Amino acid sequence: MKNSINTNLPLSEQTYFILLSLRTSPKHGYAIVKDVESLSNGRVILSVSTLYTTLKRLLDDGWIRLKDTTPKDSNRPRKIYELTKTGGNILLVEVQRLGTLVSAARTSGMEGMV
Amino acid sequence: MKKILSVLTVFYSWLLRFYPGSFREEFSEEMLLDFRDTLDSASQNGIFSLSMVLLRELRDIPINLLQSHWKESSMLKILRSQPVSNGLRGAIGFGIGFASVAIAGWGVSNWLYTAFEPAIANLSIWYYDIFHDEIYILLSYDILSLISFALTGVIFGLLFALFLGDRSNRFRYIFAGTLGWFIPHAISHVLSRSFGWSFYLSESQSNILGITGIILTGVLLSATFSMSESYHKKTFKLLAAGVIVYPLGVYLFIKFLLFMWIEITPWFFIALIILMVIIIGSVFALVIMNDRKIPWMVIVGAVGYPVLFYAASFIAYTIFHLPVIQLGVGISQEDINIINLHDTAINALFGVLFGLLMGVVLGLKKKNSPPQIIV
Repeated sequence: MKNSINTNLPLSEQTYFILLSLRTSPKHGYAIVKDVESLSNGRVILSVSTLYTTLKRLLDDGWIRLKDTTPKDSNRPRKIYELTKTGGNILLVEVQRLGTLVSAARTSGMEGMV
Repeated sequence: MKKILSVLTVFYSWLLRFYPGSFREEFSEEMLLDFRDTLDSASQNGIFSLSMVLLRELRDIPINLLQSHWKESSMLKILRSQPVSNGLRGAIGFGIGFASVAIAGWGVSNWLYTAFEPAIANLSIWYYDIFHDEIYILLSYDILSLISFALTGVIFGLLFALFLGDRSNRFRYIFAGTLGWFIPHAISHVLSRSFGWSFYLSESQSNILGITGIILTGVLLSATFSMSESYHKKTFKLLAAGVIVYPLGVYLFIKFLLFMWIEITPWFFIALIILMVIIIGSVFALVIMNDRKIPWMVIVGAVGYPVLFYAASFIAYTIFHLPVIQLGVGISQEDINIINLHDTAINALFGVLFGLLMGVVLGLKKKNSPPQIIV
């Protein structure tokens, strides 16, 4: 139900960027940290403790799931996380919500700024 | 530099020991690997970058530790899980709600009658002088009762929203709670005031009609509960129209029966039961129109409300030995206060039982319906 999604919104910046990062491809923890830094143009830098506290919550809520434990390009055993359908839906609704906010700013005369 | 990195990694592994056991088991190895990779990467940019990594971790770790321990607490986990969470919120909310509404109903009606009685008396004299009819006098008192139901309904709606709503649906819950309280009370009031039950109905017929009134209250409360969860403007508007349509319909229907002179036949009672069945059926139809699913919540409310209503009275009078005070001529103010207090206690007990039932059903519904997007 849309209502139950709405109760989870707005997402925190960390959660938003982690979900956004996993939307493109499944990743392990360190790759998420690097991707989030790049996606946010260096504005959001996740500490390791924040990353795993958030990942744990997202796993418990069923927004992401464990995909694998060893990436193909590494011999170090690591857990790979991927976005679930629920997580994807929540991200989509959040993006739509943010889009509405931006379009409201545009119609109020801030076209040149946003 | 390598030595510094090793010391920092050992320090970080020591910090990880403060996380809850299950969290450590699941993530500590990975966290240590990622921390080491982050340090390696930062060390290539110099000591400033390395210090920033360390400061960031030291800044974030206390709050993350607290958060992890809070979430790992098994009791909290159970309390936060469905249907336990909604069951408890329902029991507390409805327990407090029903008790408060009993007290508020008592206070509000006392205040209304005290404040408006002189004005009504003056208007009544004026009306009687002109029209030689007493119906207005009765109607005035009925309107005061209806206002009293509406005001207590708002209080019920506020508590309903406070305990079971959230930011996105709070006003809807207040509105729904008010409707859920007002409509059945208004119908029961009109029903009881439109004809003399003891004159036209036998004792068993009065009891059966009373039970249908209790079922109707359960149906309307659970319907508003269910409809405030899955909101559709059209059906909410129809329910809101019920504030006028239902009491007025009941009043006109009884006037019609009295006009047709069928009150002295068994058809009078049958017609009243049919009326109640139609009203209950119309509420079911509204809920189905709203959600297009089997209205389990309303079915549970229809059965659960009367069962719990009698269970609460049984517990109060049989288990807690609440004394029974007979109403009649010569009843003192002290007796009235005791009756009101008993009423509050029974309402609170009933509210806890009914709220628990509704909360569990709502919790199970939430648990079994994962979030989806409605386009």
